[in-house]
Amino acid sequence: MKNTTLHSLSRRRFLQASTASSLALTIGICTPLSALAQDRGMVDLPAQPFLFLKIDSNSVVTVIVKHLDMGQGIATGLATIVAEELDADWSSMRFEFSPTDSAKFKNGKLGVQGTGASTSIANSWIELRKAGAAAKAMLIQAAAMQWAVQANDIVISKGWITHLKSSRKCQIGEMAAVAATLPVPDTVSLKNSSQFKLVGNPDVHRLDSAAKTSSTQVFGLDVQLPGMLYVSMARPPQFGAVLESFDDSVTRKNPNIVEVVKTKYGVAVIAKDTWSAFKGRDELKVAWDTSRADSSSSADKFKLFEQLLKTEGLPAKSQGNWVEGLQSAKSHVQATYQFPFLAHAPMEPLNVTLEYTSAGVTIHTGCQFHTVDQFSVAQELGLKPEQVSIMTYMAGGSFGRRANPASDYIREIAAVAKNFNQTSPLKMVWSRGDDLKGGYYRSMFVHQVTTGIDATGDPLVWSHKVVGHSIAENTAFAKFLIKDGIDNTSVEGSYENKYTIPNFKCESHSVAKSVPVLWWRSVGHSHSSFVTETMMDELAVMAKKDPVQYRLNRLKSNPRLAHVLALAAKHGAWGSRLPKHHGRGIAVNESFGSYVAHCAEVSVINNKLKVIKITCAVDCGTIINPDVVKAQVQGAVAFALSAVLFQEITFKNGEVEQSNFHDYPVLRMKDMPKVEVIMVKSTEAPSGIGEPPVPTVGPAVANAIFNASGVRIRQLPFTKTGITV
Amino acid sequence: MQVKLNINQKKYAVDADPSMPVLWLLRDQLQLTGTKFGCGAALCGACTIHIDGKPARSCQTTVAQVVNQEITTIEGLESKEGRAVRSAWVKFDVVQCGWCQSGQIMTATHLLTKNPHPSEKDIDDAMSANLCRCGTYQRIKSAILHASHNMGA
Repeated sequence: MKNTTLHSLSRRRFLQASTASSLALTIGICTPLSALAQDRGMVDLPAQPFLFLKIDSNSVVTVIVKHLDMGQGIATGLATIVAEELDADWSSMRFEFSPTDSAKFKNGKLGVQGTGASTSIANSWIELRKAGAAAKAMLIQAAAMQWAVQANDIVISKGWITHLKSSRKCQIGEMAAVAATLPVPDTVSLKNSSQFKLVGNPDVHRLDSAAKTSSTQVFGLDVQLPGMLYVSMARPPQFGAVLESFDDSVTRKNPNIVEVVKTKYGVAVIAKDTWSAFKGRDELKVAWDTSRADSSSSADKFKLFEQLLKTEGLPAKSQGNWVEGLQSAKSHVQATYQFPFLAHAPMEPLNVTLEYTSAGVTIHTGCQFHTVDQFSVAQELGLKPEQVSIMTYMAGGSFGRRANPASDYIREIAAVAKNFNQTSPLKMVWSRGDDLKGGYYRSMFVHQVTTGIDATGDPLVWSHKVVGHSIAENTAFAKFLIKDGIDNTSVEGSYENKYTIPNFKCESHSVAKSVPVLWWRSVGHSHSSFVTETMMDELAVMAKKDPVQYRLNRLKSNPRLAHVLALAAKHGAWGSRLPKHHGRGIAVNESFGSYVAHCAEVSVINNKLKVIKITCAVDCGTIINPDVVKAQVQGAVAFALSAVLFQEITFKNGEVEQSNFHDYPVLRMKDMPKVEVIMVKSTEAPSGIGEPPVPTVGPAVANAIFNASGVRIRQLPFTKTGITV
Repeated sequence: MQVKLNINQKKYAVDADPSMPVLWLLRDQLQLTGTKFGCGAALCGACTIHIDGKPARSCQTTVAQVVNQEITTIEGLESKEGRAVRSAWVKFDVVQCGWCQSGQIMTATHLLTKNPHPSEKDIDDAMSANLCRCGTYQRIKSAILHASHNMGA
């Protein structure tokens, strides 16, 4: 059976289909951004249809997934949305990643083809519902024509098309070929949420579980091409160092070494296998010119950041009069917080494979930033972007690392290929040490908050300074993310004043980048939430008020946030008695359109911490796959705990000190707390879930530590305050 | 040099560097890519295979060390325990990114082979050497307990 996709299907235009046996129905709908939040039944069809689903003659429905699945389950999520409106049978659903075509597969929320900012479901929700609904309408129309009956008398359920009056029926695959010849309807009717059978159904299973438990799932690092060679690169030991000279005489003694190639990014060793490439790279003797490199240590960097606290930053927000507020405050407190650089450390080390084709090159990788990576490769090789095709594979984690405006490892392989005199396919593999030392970290940050309460204990004033490196600075994203000199990703979560404190200001300092930084799961919220939520705890304690009620009193204008806070407190048994040395803490945050609260229960005995239980309440609008949402929340606890308990990237004389999981630890099963997840049922438009459950884990646990032991944490990771696990 | 290996009950005669870690022989030469590279230093467990039934880190085990021994990889995991573990993994939708899961499954299978009815503490002890960056530990534990109950059937 052949699968033919029809790329140019458009409304008001009949397409001549070829023979019935070789057909598939392919349909796609482009949605204007303004329509994304609408969910009102009748929706105008857009002007540029394109590919989002295929139905083959066996009724297998393949959803074309334009987002990268890096474990967050987006392939399952997008397939669920299509299957819902199409009324397909869930067992017939499959998926494949879309090709790189920025015009067709743009993420409406990011402006490029790419995955990030927890936008995948939100930007696909209406787009894919329309695609599914239009396909369903066309299948019904096809059956009406074939059976010479009224379309109104035909229904589709679980992949079966049935004529109600005669009980005549067939599976959708039998009508797919005819349906593909019909025009896309001008309008389609979307279901009401009460009609959903798959969306919100906790029994819908992930589409990738079987492949990922049987070794059949192919990830980027698993790509095998005939004649493929393996590449490892020696990179500068300090950021800003440049290659001076190198001696490859030892490396070249190994017969498995094919070539050693100099590039602007480093010295690449090309070998017949990965191990020889790694070994050959380690055997190189490379001299680096470090005269213009950053040779500072972590303590120097923090000192520089903290000096900026003494000066005025750029205003991210200013309300009321914070000087007068501070003067009239009954009690006040000033606190300074330190956050380290953090690596993403996805379990699948970074990798990319380049293959020459007649048109140009194909890049094989777990691609998260198609538009940017395609442009980057084209620029490196002197090709046009359309000569660079990208094959996307499942990614073994990312947490932001694979969406890099600099396309770092993607550019590296292109540079190696350009300087290599053969045309064999090349696979670049990063070791774990390469990953931890390779930059593009969550920036270190210093925050300072000066705040005070009035005679009744209410917060009266809050002055917040944020010092860090800007992600967007010197990238193509600067014009979207930096306004009036302030990178929104640096101050998000700090400047919103969600507790409506009457005298409020937030200032931002961007320190020129000597270390490359990047978005790290939950971006600015990964540090701002810790500051806001532990300081609110300090204020509640200072005011002798209950930390939950203290927050609720100031969240009256944000009912969704107040609701998750109350839910987490209730299910976390807030207020009930605890044994000696045990404590509870709470934290609440809004990010990426979602509302999350965590309640943590811990014990602290002689500074030894045990996180016993985490209760999380989350409102992410309409829930597509409850079990996938639950998995994201459970996993976010481990991800966030790893960071706050013991992860940090540190520098000594400009060199990164960490090299593997022994000095950049990841939480292990024995330290994993019990996690309870409460999901708010909602008919609001769906919002993100990959990132939002991360920020409040740390502050909830820190507040619980204070509750248990009286130790207040303002430096991360917690080990800096003597807390160990 | 040519080495003779027994992998997943199949005999291989391959030209390989005896000092090369088995991981790279499996992945690069034999296309058995189910065994994953995570750290290259026996710290994460993603590369776990069985050698004569015992779990081993293939990133730290040389080709010379496994000559004439029975190697089992995720591709050849066909024991009663292995099947029960896999089926529980699917039932509980354990996986997220999935990269560590071959190693988790190999370790869990060995645990149940040795100890068919592990306590939660036994599971913590056996599984804490396998890292999961996505944080699937809670489901791994549930799946192992489920597999333990269903193996006898």
